[in-house]
Amino acid sequence: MNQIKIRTKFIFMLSFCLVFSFKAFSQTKITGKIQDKSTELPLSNAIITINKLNTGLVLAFTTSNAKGNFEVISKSESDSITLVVRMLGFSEFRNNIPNVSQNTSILLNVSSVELKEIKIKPDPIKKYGDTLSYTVSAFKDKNDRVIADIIKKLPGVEVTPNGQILYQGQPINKYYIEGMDLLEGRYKLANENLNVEAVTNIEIIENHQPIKLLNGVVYSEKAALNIKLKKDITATGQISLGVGLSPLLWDVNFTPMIFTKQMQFLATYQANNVGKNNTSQLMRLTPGVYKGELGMESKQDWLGIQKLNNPPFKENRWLDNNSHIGSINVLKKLKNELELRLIADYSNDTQQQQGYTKTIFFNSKEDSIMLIENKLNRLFFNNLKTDMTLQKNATDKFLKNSFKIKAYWDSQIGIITNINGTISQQLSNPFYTISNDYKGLFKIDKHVLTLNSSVKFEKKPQRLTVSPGQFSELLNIGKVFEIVQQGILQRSFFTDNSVQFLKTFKAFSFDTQVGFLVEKQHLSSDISRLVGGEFNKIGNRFSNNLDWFNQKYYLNLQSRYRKERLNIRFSTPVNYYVFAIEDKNLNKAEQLNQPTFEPHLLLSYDLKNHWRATLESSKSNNFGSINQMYYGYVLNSYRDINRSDTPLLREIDFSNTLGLSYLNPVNSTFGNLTYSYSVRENNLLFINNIGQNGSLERTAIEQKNNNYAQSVSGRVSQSFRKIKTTVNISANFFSQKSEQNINTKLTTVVSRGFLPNLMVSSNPSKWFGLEYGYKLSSLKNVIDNVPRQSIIQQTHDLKLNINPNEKWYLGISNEVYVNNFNDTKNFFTDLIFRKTIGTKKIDLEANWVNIFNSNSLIIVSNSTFNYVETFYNLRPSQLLVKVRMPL
Amino acid sequence: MMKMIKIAIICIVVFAYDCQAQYKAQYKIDYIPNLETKKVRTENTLLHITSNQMSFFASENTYKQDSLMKLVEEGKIPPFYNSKSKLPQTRLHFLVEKYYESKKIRVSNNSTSYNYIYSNKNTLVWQLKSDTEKISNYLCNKATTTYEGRNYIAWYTTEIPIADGPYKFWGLPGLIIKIHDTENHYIFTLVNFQKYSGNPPPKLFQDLKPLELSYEKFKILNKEYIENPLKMLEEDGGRIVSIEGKNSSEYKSKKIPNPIERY
Repeated sequence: MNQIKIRTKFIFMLSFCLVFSFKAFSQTKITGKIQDKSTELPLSNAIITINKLNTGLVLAFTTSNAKGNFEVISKSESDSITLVVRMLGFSEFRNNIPNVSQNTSILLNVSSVELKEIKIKPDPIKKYGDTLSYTVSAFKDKNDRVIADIIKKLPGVEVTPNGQILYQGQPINKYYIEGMDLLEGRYKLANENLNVEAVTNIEIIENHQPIKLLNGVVYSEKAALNIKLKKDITATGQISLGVGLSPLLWDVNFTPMIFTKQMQFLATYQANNVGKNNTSQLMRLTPGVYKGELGMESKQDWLGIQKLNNPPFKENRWLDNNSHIGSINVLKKLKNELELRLIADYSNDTQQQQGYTKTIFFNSKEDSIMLIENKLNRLFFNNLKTDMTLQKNATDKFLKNSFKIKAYWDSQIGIITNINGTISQQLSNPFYTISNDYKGLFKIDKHVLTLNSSVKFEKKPQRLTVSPGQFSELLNIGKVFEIVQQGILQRSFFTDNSVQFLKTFKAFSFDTQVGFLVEKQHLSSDISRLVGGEFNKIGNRFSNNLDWFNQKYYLNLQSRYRKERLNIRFSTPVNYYVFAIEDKNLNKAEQLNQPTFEPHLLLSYDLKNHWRATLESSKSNNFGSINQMYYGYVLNSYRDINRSDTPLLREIDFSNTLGLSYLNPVNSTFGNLTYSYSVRENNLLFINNIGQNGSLERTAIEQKNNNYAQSVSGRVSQSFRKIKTTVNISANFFSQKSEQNINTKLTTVVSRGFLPNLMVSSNPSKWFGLEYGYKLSSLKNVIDNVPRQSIIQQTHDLKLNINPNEKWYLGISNEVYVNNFNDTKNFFTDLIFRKTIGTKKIDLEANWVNIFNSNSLIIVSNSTFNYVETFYNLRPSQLLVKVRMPL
Repeated sequence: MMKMIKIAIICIVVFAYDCQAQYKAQYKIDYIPNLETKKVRTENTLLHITSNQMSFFASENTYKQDSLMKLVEEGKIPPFYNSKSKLPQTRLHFLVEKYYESKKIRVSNNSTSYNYIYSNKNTLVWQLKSDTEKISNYLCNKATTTYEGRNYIAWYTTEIPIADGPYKFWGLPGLIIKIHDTENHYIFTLVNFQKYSGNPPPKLFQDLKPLELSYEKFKILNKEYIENPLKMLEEDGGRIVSIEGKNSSEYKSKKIPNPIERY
């Protein structure tokens, strides 16, 4: 019954609609063709409108196509309508026609009547410079304490695990506070300690050229970061205190800061014994303006004790430390745009290493020498670095001069127990350096002239004492003796001075540099033995009294060409080396005058369809340094003794790299593939004489030999947007072939490695995220066609982040390590739990590290003639509770 | 006879001139990019019409940027001058090309670090209204339409027989003099209309790698970018950053973005 009712209703409605539509939508279709009256050519894009009779009210409209044809449908019910045709450059056509379907031909007259132009004074438009300003309040949430918490969140900004800030994937080149560079790149000091509440804006200055004079002359791709403070005078900082068990643990940080318009000040004191490497806060993360100024500095010691290899894990698993750092930074503005800055950093650290190593030396054929050493090491680091810098950075002139003094009072103690008994090693390895660097830039017309000058003095008085005496065959005609002591003193003077001139011409730019470098060094060393309570120097070939004088004159022309998809960079340095090496006592000397040409070519080309190809090709020369070139023996460690009674080492490298990359952001697919091949020609062949007790005597002879290296590496990454997951797969394969002499036999060593890697990151919901990483490393050595055991190591890493709400955070981190040398799997799990209390944003954090108390680990590494298993004592399970509050 | 020839020549010249005629329509945009602050931003844009065949529409500063780039490419100024810090800045990262004959629209968008390009048919359906109003000395008629989540009111004039307008708005029987959405978040107003007799405008975004994609795919990417620019940048680099349990995708901007298109 109901159904029939609905059906009748439907039929009724349908018929009504039909009748109504016939009545209402009676249409007239007007078609036609529009032509130029004079040429009769069809006109396209003319606008045809149907207007209400004699009005401007448009009822329907269309435009003519390429053939001049048009079709317009009028739904008007009146008897007549007005047809209007308008077109640029022609007179308007207007005609009243009956409202019936018809076809008409319309001819338009050319007209030179100009269109009515208008001009209204536009509003002033706000100019946006190249500075992006982020308001801190817009990004801040309840969890944020220090400015690093905000910086991590800025669009386009990321922070690497070592604290370096990247903008659009590139490291920033300056970190300013109120436009002043207080920290000279050691910006973790401010970034991880400056209270969020003191900051109003964070500015990213794109394409920042730190030298104002070069602004607009030398293009910079890098960005700088500037912190804008709320008040003109700001006193801020942070304080945190952590205590834990067991044994008694502490983690303290006290960092006050003062900023005014004329003066800035930052000081810090930090101490911990929880396995945190605080000295990373004093690490420089931006490039400098001086030539050869690197971000990281390394101290090269002559002598050492036998250490344990550091595990490839987070430091807080294994680093047994007791470290203190202090730093004072002051910057003051003087007259004439001059700035004076003083920096003093002090650090003191005691580290302990405990474990054993099993070293297997690949001798000729299958026979190997195995050495097991139980090690207990204490490393003492104690250093002071000061830097006084005067800088003027004006638009017409740049000058910077830095005077630096660094002193390291480092020492090490090591006790080794092996089957032969106990060996004690005592090392004193201090290092002192004084240096001055100068850079000045001047404008000459449109071109820029640069002067560089640096001078450096170094002193390394080092001493290694080993008991009982080693290398008795060599040092004491086979008789056992009590103590052997290596003393060494290296004094060095370096200077490097150059003039640089930059010129541009159309798509080319030329950068010419002329300069000279002088290196004058003196090395004196002696091996002494204690026999019968008396130290005596062995002298002769167990001592050095070496004068090293090296000069280098260089002319480097770097040209660049850039047009459309092609980018070429070609540098053509011509160098002239003069070496004068002499040891009067040993009556050895060498003179070498050598010109070199070391070209480097880089070519990149953008192919179609998301591909880019690059080619890099270079030839370079390396000469031996004083650390590789001395005529008398030096005992570098208790079981390594070296000398190089040969001509100067010279290596010539030829290297070629071919790369192909694919980038498709539409599908979030990225990939690259790189192949590289290099040959190194050496004039020296190294001779390794491995004794039955694992002692190594290393010398060299003059014999040409080549090293070959090849590698293929690739990476693919794919994002799955819908499930918010990114998968990253990469792999690297390498193969190296070199020659060396092991125990009087010429040996060919082939090393191969395969290193695949998988990473998955997923954030399916707001309160939960996970990251998984898998790494495999397979290494194998083939020595004289005899394959040695492969080393296969695998790590799994799973991290879970849970944020039930803004005030609570729980993190679970798991690691598994497996290798093919022992069956045990190593599991590590850490828990972090954090709660925020009160309005002053005081944080309470509990950190339970290594909950399963995995207390040891065996890792494996290899070199061309040995592999080393290291058993490492790890930090035990421990709990740390921490309070942090802003100053 | 001579007179006839003269007239013919003039006619031809005029005809040739007018067919090749280029027009520049400058529109001012007043818009609210962020609904949190509701601050109004203003930027000048340019509609460049070539020979009654096609048009380009982009921010004036984009044209300026690209003109400078072109000079660099031609070697008239050294490449170091193409330092971005010296270039005029814009927040309108698009170029709209309209092809009158095929009624197709081609949009290049470089708001991310890529130049996404999509093509589309003109799908705007205009409702012509009887209201008239004098705007900027032109007699205008009213028309309304709907586009990507907003309702628009347009005022066009038949005095300028060019069926074009700012941004993606076109297809009326005359040039659009003013168009705004019903919430007044985006207001385009003609401030200049002039005949233009210089070189045709430079091709824009030449320095970026073009990536062609469908409009549907673009909408998905653009929407994600607006909602979470950080995440997009990360995926572009394939790099994953995790910050003490705070993943970048968890981060929500306090800004309330107000894009012109609401998909």
